[in-house]
Amino acid sequence: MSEEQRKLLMELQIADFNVIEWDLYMHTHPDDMEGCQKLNEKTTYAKKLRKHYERLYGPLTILTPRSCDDASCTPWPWQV
Amino acid sequence: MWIYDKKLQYPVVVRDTNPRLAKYLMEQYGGADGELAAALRYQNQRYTIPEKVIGLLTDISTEEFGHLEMIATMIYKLTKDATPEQLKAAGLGEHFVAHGHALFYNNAAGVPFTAAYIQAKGDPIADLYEDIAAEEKARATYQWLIDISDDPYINDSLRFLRERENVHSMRFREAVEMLKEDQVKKTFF
Repeated sequence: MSEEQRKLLMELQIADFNVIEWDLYMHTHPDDMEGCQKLNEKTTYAKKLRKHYERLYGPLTILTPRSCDDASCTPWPWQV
Repeated sequence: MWIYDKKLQYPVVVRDTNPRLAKYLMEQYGGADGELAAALRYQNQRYTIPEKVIGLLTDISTEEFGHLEMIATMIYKLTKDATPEQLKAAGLGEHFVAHGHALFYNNAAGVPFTAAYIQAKGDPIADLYEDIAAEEKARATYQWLIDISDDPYINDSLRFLRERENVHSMRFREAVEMLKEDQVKKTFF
């Protein structure tokens, strides 16, 4: 894995982590409107970053269409 | 339904072969307070927990599967280049005979995983108290792993996992308070 990919992957891991953390928080603070807004901001950003990463390095989930003639394929996590 | 996301929740960096450390980490793979036990426990309790806690159990259970993958990555990378001789010296000779270089849901002492490690009582408070205890036991295990390991890269990932146990424990405690408030409301009817 190239240094650029590793860096972008780390950014995506951070972005997704923010979503997970705010999501768990909202389960026990359902009336926190500021928290809800924060969660939505984090989700929007993570989604954008994921799209960018997948365009460069290939799909992370089966929900992203793959190109059929391109070997671009992000490695399995335990092979990184 | 679950969709696989082809990345770890937090990076795992392994520089050296260290089957002894891998053996210790198996406590969090197939052990009583490990990630498999946690994921399966919360997943299975979801069906009878009150509505407002279902989402929390679902999302924490899902995250635990991600932690299981991190631990698996550590164990795999720490042992993949180990010779039978090295595995034997690390106390993994029996593991090698039964599983080769494959992973297996054993604890650090080589005892296979059993569903008897986990419980579902159908009582929300009993279940959530078990969940809080599970998080605290896992946090303690991560602390002992960090104390016994001298690998700075592994310890970095273990510290992340230890902090997650803290957060999950806190969320479960809050869930208990939410349910208790509801119980109090009911007694006034």
